Amino acid sequence: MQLLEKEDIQGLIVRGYSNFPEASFVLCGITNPAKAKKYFARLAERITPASQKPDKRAIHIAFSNEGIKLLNLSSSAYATFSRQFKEGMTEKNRQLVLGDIEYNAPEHWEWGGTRSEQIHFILMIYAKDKTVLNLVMEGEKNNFDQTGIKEIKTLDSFALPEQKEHFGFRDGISQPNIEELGKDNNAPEWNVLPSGEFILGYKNVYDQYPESPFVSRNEDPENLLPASTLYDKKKDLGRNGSYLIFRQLSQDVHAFWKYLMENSNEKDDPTEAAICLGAKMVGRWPDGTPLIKSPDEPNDKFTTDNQFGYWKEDFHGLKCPVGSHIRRSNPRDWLLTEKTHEESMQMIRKHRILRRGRAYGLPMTDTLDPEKIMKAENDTEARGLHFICFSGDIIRQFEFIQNAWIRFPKFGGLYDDSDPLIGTHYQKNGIKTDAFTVPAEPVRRRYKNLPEFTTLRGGGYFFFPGIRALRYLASLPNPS
Amino acid sequence: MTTTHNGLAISARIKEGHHEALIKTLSQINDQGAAHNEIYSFGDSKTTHFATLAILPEERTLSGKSLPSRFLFLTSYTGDRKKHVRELAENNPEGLAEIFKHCEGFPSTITPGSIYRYMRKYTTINTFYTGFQYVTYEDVGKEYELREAIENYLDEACNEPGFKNKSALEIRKSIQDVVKSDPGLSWSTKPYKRSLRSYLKLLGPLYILGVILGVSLICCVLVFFWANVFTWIGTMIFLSFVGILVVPLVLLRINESRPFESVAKPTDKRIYDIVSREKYPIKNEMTVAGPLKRGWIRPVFLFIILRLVWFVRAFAYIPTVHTARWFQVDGGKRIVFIAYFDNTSEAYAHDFVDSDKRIRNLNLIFGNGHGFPPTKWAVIGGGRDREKYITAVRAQQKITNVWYYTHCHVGILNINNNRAIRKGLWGDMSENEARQWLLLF
Ligand code: HEM
Repeated sequence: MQLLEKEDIQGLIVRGYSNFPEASFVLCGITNPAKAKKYFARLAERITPASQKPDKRAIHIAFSNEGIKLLNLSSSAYATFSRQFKEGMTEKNRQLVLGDIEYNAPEHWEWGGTRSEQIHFILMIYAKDKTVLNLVMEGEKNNFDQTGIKEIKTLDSFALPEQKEHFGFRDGISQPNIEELGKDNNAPEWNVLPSGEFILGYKNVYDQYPESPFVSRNEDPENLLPASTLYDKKKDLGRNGSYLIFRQLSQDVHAFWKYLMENSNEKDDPTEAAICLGAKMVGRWPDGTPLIKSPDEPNDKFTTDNQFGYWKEDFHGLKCPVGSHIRRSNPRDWLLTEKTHEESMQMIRKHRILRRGRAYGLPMTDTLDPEKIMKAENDTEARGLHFICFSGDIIRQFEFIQNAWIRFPKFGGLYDDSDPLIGTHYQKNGIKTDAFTVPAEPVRRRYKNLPEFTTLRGGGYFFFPGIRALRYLASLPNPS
Repeated sequence: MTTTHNGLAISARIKEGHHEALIKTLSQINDQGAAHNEIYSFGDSKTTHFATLAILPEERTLSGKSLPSRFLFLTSYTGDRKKHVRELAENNPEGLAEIFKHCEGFPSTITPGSIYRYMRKYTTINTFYTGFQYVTYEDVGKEYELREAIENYLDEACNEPGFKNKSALEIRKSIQDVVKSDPGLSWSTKPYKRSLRSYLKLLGPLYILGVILGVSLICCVLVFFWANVFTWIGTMIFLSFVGILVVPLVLLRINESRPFESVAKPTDKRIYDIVSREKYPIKNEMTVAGPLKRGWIRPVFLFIILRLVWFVRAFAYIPTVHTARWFQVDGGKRIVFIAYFDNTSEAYAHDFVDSDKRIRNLNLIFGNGHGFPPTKWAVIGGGRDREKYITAVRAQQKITNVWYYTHCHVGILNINNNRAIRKGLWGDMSENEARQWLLLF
């Protein structure tokens, strides 16, 4: 097994900091690269490595493509970053690939979009409470002015009760297991992946080293970087780093439950009916119970259960609809295009992401109990999810999931169904993506005209460097 | 009428000095839309599902031989080939002349007949795979409408009191009544039946081959006990067949030990140029073409494999593909692969490379292409080196000048599901069968 260099890996890759309910993501621009690099060199000392399990705070940093360019990396080295990272999330063709069109098009975004100011890096701060967070934030931001850095926007976030997201469903249950971290002995084989899927410089699921940005030897005179595992005479800039994908998705909680209440009539009690339909859309009950394990009602025993498949348990989606959010973002052992569940598993293993998202905005109600949410008045609070994930290969992992499974209305033999929670719902030129089908006996139920329950507010692709790589970037000479 | 789905592949050398003019003509078709434009409208055809017009650039084989620039005119169609070509030629002979006049051998007089003969003459054999068999262009649209009408009925019916308590057979009966009462759907009230001719057209050659092989194998055994002219002929046939497979395989194995010659990695810009043309939300197209690996055995081996695959094509399976085809041009020295698939080429490439079984199969064909990762015994290795495989696909991918598709909103699984709905609409069924049928909605 490969040994992880944990002291060089930024800790966020290996832990989601569930002990830190508070977090802030500071979106920054670089106004003076020379000064900013000095800041980064000092910051490298404060970055939380994966080898530590902090109890107060954690600090991380990720650079955008424009940010990397400003640091004066040679153009030949910059060229070695992945195409998706260099082109950026908002590139025109990519908008179609990701389904970032119509109301989700980047021209409407609040940050990172085609009409917004360029983000050069994100400072990510996690803390055990608000006081610590403020203290760390102050400490960092106080440096900004003198260090050629400009705060463009700060995205706050805090953990919601019972690990829920704003619609009222438990989140953060299902994650791939990194083989080298050896945490979960019960994890099914399909869910255990080599670290190279998420951390550059290590072997991936194809037993190959993933493409990783590199520099030539003479560009690293201080010998800060390790040798490249892929190319002779090159130094690995990517090792122990990853690509971080950030998408701010606002959630229209009121519209979500209103739609569910108005359109569900499967049960006599309208509240119960709405919750049932909501659970069908997510694939889990609000408390986290997977529909596969308990299709008719939530069950305390299974709230964090992740040991299930679809092929044998529920081929037709009678328990957990094919189009539900969890079944399409990770179809596990069920791909209708495959002939067996083994083949399906073989395929989906190549398309996993490590999620590190955090909610933002005040919840509709204190407890996030769906019954109460349904009764609550609509308000104007901005709320949603800062969706964050890591991929060693953006196109094969995040983009594939977003494109082929979440966006594609034909996923799993469906017709007009994009992801009910996060798909872009529209009807145009004969294409419809706003239906949701619930397979049932004797016949299915089809829900039409799904409104936009979530809307993209910003996003971008970032390079999440290893700590040595951060030091290297900070040490780059300034143009004379 | 036969409804077998087949591929037409016309390949002709581009006349000296006509390259630019042909590009211009094709660009005009592409800009205005392949379905309806001022030069040649594929939308007028009732037999065509897909079409691709592409220029293969002049290339060199690894031993330095020049491969001329070529024009490919490809369609996928259902029915009789002659009728299909005649339809294309008669629809607009002048339009086709506008295109083909840049190619060698084009006749000076333009009539539907002369165009027809030209197209037939330059038709080359292709090994064609389809994800939907016996479904005509018209069927795709009509069966989609049929399903939509039933779905709309079910949307309403679901809310009727007592509907949920009905048996599957009762619900099926009510669906039948709805279909019967809709004059627009009267075509679907006759039970679906595929013609025997269509079936034989697809599988007949395989059965004949099977019979010949079976009989010759028996002869091979009998010859030890009962040697006569018949058993000897049978034995010779069987041994020739084995020889045709084994000898090239052994020669290929020797060839495989040559050092691997990689292709230059395509630049990001080149990949972008290719993928940024995939702007259709449901289905897209790709053209991959390039010279083969070094050695005379490569074209020979590929020729044999493509013929064998042709025989068994009805049993092949490539997920998400509407149609795909392989053929050789330039005396077998260049391989061409064209596919129409659901979603994007990136997602599609994964369908191949992420499945151990499919990698094995695809090695047999692509393993012969320049730059594709080295194989052992034609099936081992190869595409298992995912990095090299994807690099080779992208390096050999060509920008398709024009491509045409029908029914933009229908995915491949939809086509097959709609057909299954139609097939199950009439005829006897048990309650359990009716339950299964209702799950198609
Ligand atoms: C506001 C937006 C979103 C909401 C409310 C949401 C909600 C949820 C919930 C409630 C779960 C079930 C809990 C769990 O299994 O951990 C889940 C799982 C998941 N979500 Fe999301 N999600 C959102 C956005 C996204 C995005 C943008 C992606 C990726 C493109 C994504 C990918 C996943 C994946 C991969 C899983 C795990 C599925 C499994 O392994 O079973 N989600 N999400």
